[in-house]
Amino acid sequence: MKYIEPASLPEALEILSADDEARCLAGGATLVAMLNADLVEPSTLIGLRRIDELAGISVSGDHIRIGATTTHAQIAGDDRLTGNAAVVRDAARQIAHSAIRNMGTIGGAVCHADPNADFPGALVAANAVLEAAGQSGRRQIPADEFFLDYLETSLEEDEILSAVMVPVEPVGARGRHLKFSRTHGDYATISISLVLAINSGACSHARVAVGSAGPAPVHLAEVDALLTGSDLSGETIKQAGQKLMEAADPVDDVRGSAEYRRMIIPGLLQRAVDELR
Amino acid sequence: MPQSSQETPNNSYPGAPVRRLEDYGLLTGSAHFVDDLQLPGTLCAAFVRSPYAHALVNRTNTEEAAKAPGVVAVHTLPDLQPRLTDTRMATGLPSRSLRLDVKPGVLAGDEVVYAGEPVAVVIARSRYAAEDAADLVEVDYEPLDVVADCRSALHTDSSAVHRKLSHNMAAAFEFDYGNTEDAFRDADLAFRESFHLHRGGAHSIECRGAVARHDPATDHLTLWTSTQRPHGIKRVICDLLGRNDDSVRVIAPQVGGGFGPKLVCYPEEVVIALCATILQRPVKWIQDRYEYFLSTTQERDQYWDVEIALDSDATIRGMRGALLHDHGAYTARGLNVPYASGITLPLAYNIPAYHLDVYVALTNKVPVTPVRGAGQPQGVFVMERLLDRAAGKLSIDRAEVRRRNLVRKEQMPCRKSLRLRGDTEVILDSGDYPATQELALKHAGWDSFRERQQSALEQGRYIGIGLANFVEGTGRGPYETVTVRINASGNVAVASGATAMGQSTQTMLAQIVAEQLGGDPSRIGVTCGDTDATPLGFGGFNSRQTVIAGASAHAAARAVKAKAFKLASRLLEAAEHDLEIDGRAVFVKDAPDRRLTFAELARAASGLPGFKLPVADMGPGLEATESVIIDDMVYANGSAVAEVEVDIDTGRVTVLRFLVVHDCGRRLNPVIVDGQVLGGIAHGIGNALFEWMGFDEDAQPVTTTFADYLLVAADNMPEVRLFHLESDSPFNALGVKGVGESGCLPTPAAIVSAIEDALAPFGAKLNQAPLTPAVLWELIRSAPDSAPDTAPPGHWRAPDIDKDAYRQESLDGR
Ligand SMILES: Cc1cc2nc3c(=O)[nH]c(=O)nc-3n(C[C@H](O)[C@H](O)[C@H](O)COP(=O)(O)OP(=O)(O)OC[C@H]3O[C@@H](n4cnc5c(N)ncnc54)[C@H](O)[C@@H]3O)c2cc1C
Repeated sequence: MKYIEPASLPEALEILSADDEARCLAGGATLVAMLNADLVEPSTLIGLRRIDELAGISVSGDHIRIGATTTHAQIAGDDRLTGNAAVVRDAARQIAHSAIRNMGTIGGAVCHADPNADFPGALVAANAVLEAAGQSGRRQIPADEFFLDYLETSLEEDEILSAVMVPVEPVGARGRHLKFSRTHGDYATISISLVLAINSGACSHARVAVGSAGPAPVHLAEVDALLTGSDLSGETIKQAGQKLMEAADPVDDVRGSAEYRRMIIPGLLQRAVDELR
Repeated sequence: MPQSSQETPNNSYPGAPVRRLEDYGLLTGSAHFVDDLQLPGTLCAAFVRSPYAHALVNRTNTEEAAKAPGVVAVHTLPDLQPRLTDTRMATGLPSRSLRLDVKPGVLAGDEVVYAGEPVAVVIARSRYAAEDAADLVEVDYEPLDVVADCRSALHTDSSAVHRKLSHNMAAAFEFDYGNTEDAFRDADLAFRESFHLHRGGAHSIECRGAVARHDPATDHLTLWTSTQRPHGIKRVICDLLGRNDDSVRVIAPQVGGGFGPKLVCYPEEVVIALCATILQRPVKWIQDRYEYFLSTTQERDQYWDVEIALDSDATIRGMRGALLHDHGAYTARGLNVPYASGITLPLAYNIPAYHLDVYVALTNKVPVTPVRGAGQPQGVFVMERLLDRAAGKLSIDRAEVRRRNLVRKEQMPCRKSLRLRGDTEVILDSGDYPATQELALKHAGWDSFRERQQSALEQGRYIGIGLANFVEGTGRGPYETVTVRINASGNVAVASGATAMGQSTQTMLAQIVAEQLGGDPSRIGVTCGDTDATPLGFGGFNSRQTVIAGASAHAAARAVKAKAFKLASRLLEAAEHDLEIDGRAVFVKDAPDRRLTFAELARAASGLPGFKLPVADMGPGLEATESVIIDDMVYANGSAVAEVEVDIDTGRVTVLRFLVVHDCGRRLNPVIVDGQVLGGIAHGIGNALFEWMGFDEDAQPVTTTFADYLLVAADNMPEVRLFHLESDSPFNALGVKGVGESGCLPTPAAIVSAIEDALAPFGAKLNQAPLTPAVLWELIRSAPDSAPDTAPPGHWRAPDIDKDAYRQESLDGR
């Protein structure tokens, strides 16, 4: 196995498209563990850490740009991530323990697309857009369309995720990533990512996604619509929770049965709303 | 205070929180664990393990693997067999109750009986090469029916765990005293409950591992292994490899935790030792965590079906029932886990009649051996849950029911109608159990809890409180040898068969010796866990070393001190009672200038060629070896109170507060005692809420990483308060009792009691551990519809079992 650390994105893309078996290495938190367990055998590892344009967070106009190799710890510690983007920061804060947060990157987390991970739901709730770089240019993929299935995204084999763009709007919104797990540091049993704007008691913006509830984050436009404009009464939340629960399709595993996971969604949604109110 | 410390009034080492001798090495990274050994020319081993829980092994082809780069050798059982006296390892303790002789193999032969059982070994120049080549070993398996559940293992139509055997009843035995029939016939209240208790593995930070080296010049074989019991390993290796005792040395270097499973000899230890002699190169094998999950012994499942009979004033009249214990596929240690469970049940309370049938069932899973607590937490759990239930039925406070039945101080020493597995008596030596409970209740604010609970409930919060008492048998005999020597260079050296695995054993021994010889414990060198340093020994298990090795250290140090005084008295021309010792010298109390250093004394004692020894009736040297024989165990006790909150939306439990009042007799080092109890509590919290070693219906392990198998981490630990009583044991000179396991005994019982209390509004009945959020949530959700006597999850009714129907059989057809 070869290991290369290109200094630029075009260079990395060239190596990637030249070799079917090449793979990007970001923080390595997941990929190195997979290599150790013989689950993957790439011919070449392309280390991304020297590529400056993939690193760091910048605010430009109507969105906040989070470079793919930005670590969870950097995101968790950046107080520019407020308003709509707060949900992303809140998710980063709750990933694993600090060792993993110092190692793992948002690019690695979303490209790995583990349905139990925290970022996917948060990015959907924040209406983020993922920027994919290929040799022929860049394209933008809404978070809603990025996560396809268990460990599967709409990124092409020869593309590299370059950044995650989180809209600044709505500015007055607040975000909460409510992670329910068996212990602190465990993957979520269910997570609720919620962005709400409330103006004089009425909800003026709502976007909610549920993680660990199926192969991709569960997001229903009809639920956002139900909440938006409502007074977020217990009854409304219950209805919304019910709909999300019906749409959820989680798996049975050590964290709980599929049924258990579905059934706790409404209660957790209510709690997330209460915490933002 | 015991006699000994009054004789040396200016010495305060035992009882003082002296710094641990172990800390320097551990904190600076200079301590040596097995994997730190880098012997020149070391080869690395990887094992080929069965992917099936039960299969025939038709053919094994090692050709491809042998040709792989870096590979030095590939061995299966037939390759090794000519060099072994037997293909099976006798690692278990004897017991008349065993029906099946199922010893683990050195490697699997023509049948594998659990997923992870080693089938072949690959030795290569690097670990990478060995692992890659292990994948190339082709084994032709023919899958067989699997026994995945100990409950079905005893069904007459169950398939057999071992094809060569006709049934799965590894052992059946009973506890029986008093007249249970009378007790139940005239009882005001009698009821029956069933319980399912699961404990996972032990999960020391360091997994297992071994390095072996053979020296052809001396034909000496040395094995460094991460073990709790080097002497036990040495015995198996000498026997299987046909070597005499003087040609084998087993050393336990720094051990990164044992907690039970490192008590037994494993196939890998024998294979590594043998391969080093075959290949004439050092061979190393370091287990990874995945292998640990697969192949290191566990404690797993017990099902209980028990009845209790009481008078209307809550006086217990008797108990009876059955215990079904999952033994795994082989006998790796014996029957000590179910035995300890059964004996623990009636230990803390006055129970006039007791009958328990114990069934030990084979399953196609990795063998069961003790995990910290060794079956005792399960016994405590069952007893304490029954008392909670009785309290509910009699409308008497849970603590009051216990108070009325606890063994009282004036009964001490209290002879129980039970016998230990080695057929010695059970005599509770000391302690004031009711006072221990009383203190726990006081510190916990037990009496005012109902008000706190009510006001929490008004805010929609469900909190609960629970109590559990325990008594633990500690200090298993018969002895542990200790040698104390003052060397000619003036240093004090201590050697013992005791084996350290993180319990501060060196510090403990040094403190005891320092009490006699004066001076600073940190100047005393202690060698543990080396069969050459101390040929006889047992090692670390059963909370025994401070009691057993401590007694020998105490006696040996006193003997050395007596020799030093006798010699100094002669040389200084002073009476012995006018002398004093300070760890470096012996001197005349009133004239400290008249002194002889340890070096001077040791040199004088070792003599000069052609000259008489200075003291005619004293042998040479300032050395003594003692093996104090101790047959009776000593019993530590304690009471735990847990306060929890249950999130009724998810079933998640938060332990809000936890306290233990603990009595392990005299505490030689209070900091070490606290560390042991806290560690045990952490383990107990894991057993109450998190640790689950899952297997599917094919007995395939499904929790093989720490992402699936949850351990308690620092941030899951609640605020814990510890309080100590010190009821010195009258059974040993130091007044001590063991403390290594006690923390995990009452913890699951107290936490589950508190959860049940918190969920009282839902009528929850909790008869199992661990309790996951999903299980609790299901109980909460179904509460309104379920009838009050619905069987709780984990329910088990003992079937009618004709013990005599299960024949004595052996894998060897003997
Ligand atoms: C013990 C532990 C606990 C964890 N707990 C949680 C948790 O609670 N919640 C949670 O959300 N996550 C958790 N994770 C996952 C963690 O967030 C990882 O950091 C993350 O999944 C991978 O990020 P990484 O940068 O290390 O990626 P890597 O491991 O380097 O790569 C992961 C995958 O993404 C690909 N990749 C990486 N970067 C790019 C890119 N820019 N373009 C295209 N492909 C790319 C790699 O080729 C690889 O396939 C945990 C991980 C561990 C080890």
